[in-house]
Amino acid sequence: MADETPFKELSDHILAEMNAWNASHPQATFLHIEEKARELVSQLEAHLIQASALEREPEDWSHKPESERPTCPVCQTPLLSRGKRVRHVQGPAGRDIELQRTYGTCPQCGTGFFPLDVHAGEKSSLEGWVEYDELANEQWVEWHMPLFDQERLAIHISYPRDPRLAQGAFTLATTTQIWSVFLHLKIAELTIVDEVLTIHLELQNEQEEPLLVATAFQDGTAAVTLTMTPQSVERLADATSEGTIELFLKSIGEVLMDMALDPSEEIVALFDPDAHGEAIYRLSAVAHPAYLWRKNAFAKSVVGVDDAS
Amino acid sequence: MPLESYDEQSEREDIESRYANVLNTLPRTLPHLQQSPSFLLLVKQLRSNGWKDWHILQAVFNGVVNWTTQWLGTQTDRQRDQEGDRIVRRLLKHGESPDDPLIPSSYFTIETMEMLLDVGVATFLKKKGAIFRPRAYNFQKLRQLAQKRYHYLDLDVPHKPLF
Repeated sequence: MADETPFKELSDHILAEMNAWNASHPQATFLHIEEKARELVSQLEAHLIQASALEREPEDWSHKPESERPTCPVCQTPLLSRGKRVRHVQGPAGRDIELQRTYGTCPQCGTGFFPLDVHAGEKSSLEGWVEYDELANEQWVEWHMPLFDQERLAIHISYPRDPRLAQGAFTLATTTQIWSVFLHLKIAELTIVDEVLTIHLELQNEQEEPLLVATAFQDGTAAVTLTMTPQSVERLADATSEGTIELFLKSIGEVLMDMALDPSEEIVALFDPDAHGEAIYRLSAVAHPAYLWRKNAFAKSVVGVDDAS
Repeated sequence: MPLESYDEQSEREDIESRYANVLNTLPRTLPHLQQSPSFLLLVKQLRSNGWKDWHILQAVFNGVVNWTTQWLGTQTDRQRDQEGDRIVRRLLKHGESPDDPLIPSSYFTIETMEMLLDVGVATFLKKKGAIFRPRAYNFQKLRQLAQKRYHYLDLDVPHKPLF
């Protein structure tokens, strides 16, 4: 790192804040201490990753000939550069990380993305992190979920560009973190037999059911299509968690049953607050959509605020 | 509760049992296949692909069950499942009888053997506690899982030459 001073200052700040928090919370449980420590350390992680990623921004391909430009992953056409844009990824504990990237669009199919992230393989170094592209017509969120036995599940949520569906997609992305909680606490070492989970969201005004779910399995991919009414998406922003819980159970909960080789009753039991109150508590503490949508600047940049404009 | 944990000794004992069971249950089919040049060529190919002899025996056993079920003229999936279960139970208890039809060696091809081993892997995982739902599965992934957790593709025990 070229200049280490900001990191040293941040480290000192984190230590001071932890000491102050400890002094003001003498009765804190181990769980609360752990959460506070993680929250503070996540600031340092986010800074380190942001600084490292920015140092690696290697080249500007916008003036290169077609043959040297990155190509569209969909139709292989050389991309058109749309200049440098600020890109946000979600880091540890929801920390917002800001990256400078050359944004490109495909003149053939209209797909838009940050090609350096794809072509430089940065995606794998950011495994486990939510990524998004706020400018493409077809938007997506993609990350890797660690599973039992060193396995990983790639999760890809796509949706037509629409702030309401963005909210649905990121709510789903957040609630799936419950798997990590279960794994972390060694509550559920589920045996997942698929390598990829794709979820496609659609908005449909004229349907009787607020939420329709269609699932298909092929070649190691579980493909889920969720068709939602605007009302059912709006419920996700309610003060209560009912809409979110319904979305999770009907989509992730159901597909989890089919993706795992474990007995159904054991999977159902995972969502019993009496049996796993601590896990549910952790989920609501770290992954409740309210955390994502009301407190986090990340949400502002996803829904309604185009930071490239 | 996750699938049953790995115990090498127990796995080796199970493989020994599989050798003994298949040899006892197919006293007509195995000598017939041992005389078939095309089957012996197939065995050579499978071994070069990493198959152990107990994989081959298990696939042959599953093949006999499948072929006999078809030979009996079953029409529906339900009929095939019921008849298949009945044949497995009878073979494990009494072995092949002189009246049983003899499976043609041409039934066994590389593709059929791969499919039959997939059946064996799924049965193996079921015994470890896996629950299979009515959906399509990626059998390559199931093999990887059986190998990673239980060394399914690697383990073998000393045995008499079979082919």
